[in-house]
Amino acid sequence: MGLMMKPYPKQTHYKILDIPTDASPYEINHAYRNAFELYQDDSMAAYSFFPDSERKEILARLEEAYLTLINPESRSVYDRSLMEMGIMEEENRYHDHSKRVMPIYDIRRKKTHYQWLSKVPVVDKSRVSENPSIQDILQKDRLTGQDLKRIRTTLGLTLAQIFLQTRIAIGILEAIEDDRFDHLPPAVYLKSFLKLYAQCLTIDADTVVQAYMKHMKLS
Amino acid sequence: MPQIWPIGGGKGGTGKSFVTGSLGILLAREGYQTLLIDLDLGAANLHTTIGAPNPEKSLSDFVNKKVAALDETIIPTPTPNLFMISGAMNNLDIANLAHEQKTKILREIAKLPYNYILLDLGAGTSFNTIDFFMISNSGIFITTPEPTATENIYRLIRAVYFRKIRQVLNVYHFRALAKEAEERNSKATVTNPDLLLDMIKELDPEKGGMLEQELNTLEFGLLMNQHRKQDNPDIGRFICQIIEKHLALKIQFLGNIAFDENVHLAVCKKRPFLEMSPYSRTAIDFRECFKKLLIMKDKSFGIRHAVDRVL
Repeated sequence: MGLMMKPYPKQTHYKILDIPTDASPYEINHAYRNAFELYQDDSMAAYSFFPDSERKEILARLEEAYLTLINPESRSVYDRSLMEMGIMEEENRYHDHSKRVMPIYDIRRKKTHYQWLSKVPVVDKSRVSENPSIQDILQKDRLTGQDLKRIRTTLGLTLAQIFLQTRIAIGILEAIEDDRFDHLPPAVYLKSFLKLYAQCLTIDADTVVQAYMKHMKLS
Repeated sequence: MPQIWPIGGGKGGTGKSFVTGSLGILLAREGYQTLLIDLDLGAANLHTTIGAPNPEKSLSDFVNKKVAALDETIIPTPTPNLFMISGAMNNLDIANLAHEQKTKILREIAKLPYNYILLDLGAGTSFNTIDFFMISNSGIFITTPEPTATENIYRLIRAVYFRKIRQVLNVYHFRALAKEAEERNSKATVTNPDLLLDMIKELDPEKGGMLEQELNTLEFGLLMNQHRKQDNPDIGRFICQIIEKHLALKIQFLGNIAFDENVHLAVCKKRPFLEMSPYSRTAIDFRECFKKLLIMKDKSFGIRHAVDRVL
C-alpha cells in the first residue's frame, strides 16, 4: 500500500514527472511527453478535473521539472540541493554509463606519430665526394645491387627513408639491392627508379643507371 | 458471501445497464450464480438489455412490504444461472428512499446466496447512488470518451471519496475538522477532497491515518464504453492516471469497448447483444474486459478474505 501523495506543489521534479531519481534522459523525455498529453489544453482526461488556472500551473511545473532535469548541468545542481535537504541519496543519482561514439579513423589526427619517418636527412654532397670507399665503387664499370647497398649504408640511410623520398616500393628497392632481376619491373621503369634512387644518394644518376643496366645484362 | 460489483457512471446514456447486463451474462456463462439488481430507481430498464420479459415483481414490493424478504422479488432470466431484481417502477416515491430503507436493502443484498451480485446504479450523484456504490470497495465506473462523461465521472468519484471521509469520521468530528481545514487553506473544501484530506492529516494525524487506510482499501475499475475508431484509445488510461495521482485512489483501467450500431438494434429487439452478435468487436472487447475484471477482483477479494480471517 503506497503512502498518500503529497499535494502537488510540494513535490520534487522527479515526483512531478513520476520517475525515479536515477532516470535516464530518455525516461525523462518519455515521462514529460506522457504527462504533457495528460494535462494539455484539449486533454479530455483532465477536462473539468482541475480549474483552468490549476491545470496551467501543473503544466508550468511540468515544464520547469523537465527543463531542469533534461539539462545535465542544471540537473546536477538540482540533485545537489535535494541531497542537501536529505531527500535524495548520492547512490540514487543518475550516472551516464552509455557508450560514446568512437571514431575509427581520426581525420584530424596529427602527423606527429610518424615524424621519425618523414624526417629524411638531407645528404651532403661532400660526404659522397670525400668518401674514398664510395668513390672506389663509383669508379667501377659495373655496379651491383650490393654496391648500391654499401653506398646507402655508408651514408646511413634506411630503405624506409629512401621509400619516403622516392615513393618506390620497398620490395622493389630490396630486389634492386639483392640483384633479384626477375622481381624487377620492365627496363623503362627500372631506369627511372634507379635514377631516383641515385638522386637520393646524391650520386650521378646517369652513371648509376648505365653501370647497373650493364651489370644486369651481363649477369 | 457474494462479491458485489456496483456499476455506476455519473452520466446517463453511457451504457451502465447495457454493461451490467452483458457482464452478468458473461458471469452466468462461466457458471457463476449471478444476480443483477436494478437500482436505477425510477428509471429501471435493466431487464430489457438481458432479454427478460417485463418483470412482475420488483424492488418496490420489498420496500412497500408486500413481500417479507428480498429474495422473493428475484425473477429468473432467459440465461441460465442469471437472475435479477427489477427496479421499482410503479411507485413514484421510491426514487427517494429513506435512509433506513436503504440500509435495510443493503443488508438484505449482502445476505443473498449468490456468487456475484451486480448493481446497476442510476445516473447522477444522488445520495441513493453513492450509498449503493459504497456497499462494496470495488465499484466499476462506466464512461464514454466525451468531455461530458469524463466530467461526471470525476464528480461521482469525488462524491464517493468525500462520502468515505464522512463515513470514517463521525459527523461532529468531520464538521470541526473540515471547518478548521478550510480556515487554514481556503481551497480545502468539498471540491478538493484531496487537499481537505491533507489538511485533516496535518490537524489530526491519528484520524488522518485512519482515513488514509480506509481510502486505501478502495479499488475501482474504469470501463470506456462506446469507443469509436477515431477516439484516442488512451483516454481511459489517462483518466485513471489523473485519479491515482491527484486523489490517491486505486483505479484500474479495464479497457475500451467499441461502439456498435447493433447495440441499439439489440435493445430495440429486446435481445441480449452478446447473443445477437457474439463475434462483433464489441463482444470481443467485452470478453477481454471481463477477463481483466475477474483477475482484478479475485486479487482484491483474496485480500479482503485474508483481512477478515485476521480480524
